[in-house]
Amino acid sequence: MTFVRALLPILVMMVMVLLAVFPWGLALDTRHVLPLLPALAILVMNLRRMHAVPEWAAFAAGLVLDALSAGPLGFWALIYLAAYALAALLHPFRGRGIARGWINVIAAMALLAALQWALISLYGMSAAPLAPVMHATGLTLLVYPLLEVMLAPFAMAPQTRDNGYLVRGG
Amino acid sequence: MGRLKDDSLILTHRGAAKAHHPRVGVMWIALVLVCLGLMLLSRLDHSYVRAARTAVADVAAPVLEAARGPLEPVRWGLHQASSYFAMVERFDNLERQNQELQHWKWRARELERQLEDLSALARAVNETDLPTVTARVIASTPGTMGNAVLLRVGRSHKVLGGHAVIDAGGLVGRVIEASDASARVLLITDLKSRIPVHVGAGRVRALMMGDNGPLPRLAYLPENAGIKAGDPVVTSGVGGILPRGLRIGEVITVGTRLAVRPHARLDALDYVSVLLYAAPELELSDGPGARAVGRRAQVRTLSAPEVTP
Repeated sequence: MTFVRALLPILVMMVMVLLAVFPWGLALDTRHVLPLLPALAILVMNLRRMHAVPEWAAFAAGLVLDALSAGPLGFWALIYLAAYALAALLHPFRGRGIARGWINVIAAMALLAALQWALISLYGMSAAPLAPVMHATGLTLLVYPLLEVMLAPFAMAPQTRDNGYLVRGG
Repeated sequence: MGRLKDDSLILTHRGAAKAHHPRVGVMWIALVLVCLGLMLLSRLDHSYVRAARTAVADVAAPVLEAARGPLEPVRWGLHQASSYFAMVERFDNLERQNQELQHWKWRARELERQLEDLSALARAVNETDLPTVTARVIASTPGTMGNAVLLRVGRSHKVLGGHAVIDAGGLVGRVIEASDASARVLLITDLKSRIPVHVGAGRVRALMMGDNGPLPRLAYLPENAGIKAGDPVVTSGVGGILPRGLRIGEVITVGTRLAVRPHARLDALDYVSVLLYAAPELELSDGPGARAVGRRAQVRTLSAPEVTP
């Protein structure tokens, strides 16, 4: 069971990347949200259980998305690695309740948006439009409660007894 | 015991030492450096990057195509739901447009007949046929870094980089990479997209520049060009990459700037056509052996390609 639990978040990441590139027929500015959903998933799962999505899995998911998109290789991989680092940074401040989760995720997504904009501008050697990045980040934050509920089972910690000792096979 | 020390496990056993905060490790730093290296190689447009990209696209294409099956009902449902709300308004518009089009249909037939007569009179050369390949969009990769779609046709179908891609509405974008089995299309809304266009009935030259938003903007318009909202925007053919006269959209005003509302349904692309267009390239010789050269041998018009916007 431990192996399966370790594998599940990684599988979820890969599925989310495939869903991000699927032609859903959404409006153009709305579709900018799709590549950000795996980043949000890394935040949500790693804030629940650090290393639920290991750094190599975040990197691999980003690289697959990069290879299938028109952007430079390494862009989304870097964003997802940044999401991993932000989850590690915010992990000590995690807590129960949706409000605490919101604060953490808003802070992390704001930093990711800034990083995205900086990378796009640096890559294009000119200041990129800020509106699409902000719009996508705002919409992604609206999806957060749904993703929090949906991904909770995939980031469960191994079973422990009330006294904190591990359950056999947990 | 090794597992008990793993910071991924939630342990509250007695005698637990100081709280251990997870940190990023050496692997994370190494992967970040790899990412930066890859971005640099991409910026330099290194051949390894292109090869890796096309290889991944070739591997992923059958998977994405297979995934379309089970996901198609969801996609259809989303599309129906989004289009339902706009349906009433669209119905009124369509009825009005239908009336107008009926008028234009007869007018077009009349003009077509006149054009035939005049062409025969002037002995004009007809433009050659433009072969097309129709393909389905198997992946759409929107993001703040780029707007592109992946098609299930490639070099084996004679699709090459630079070919224009259209849907029933108009220009969608152009092929930027083609492997044997797949082709990547840069949409006209992408930040990197730059398309020379003609605007309005006066064919004012301009450059249509994508900004990752839904409405690409018009730049390098001459002063007092007299452009107004609703003017048609078509490709100018400048540079010879895209054929001349491809329908793109109409001018709209966004704040103080002019933008283009594309006719193509970029948010709901399904089947698109790749125009297998070879740009004209004439050998600069007036001798008896003058002929078109290279793979760009197909000369479509009598006019030489323009080189300035």
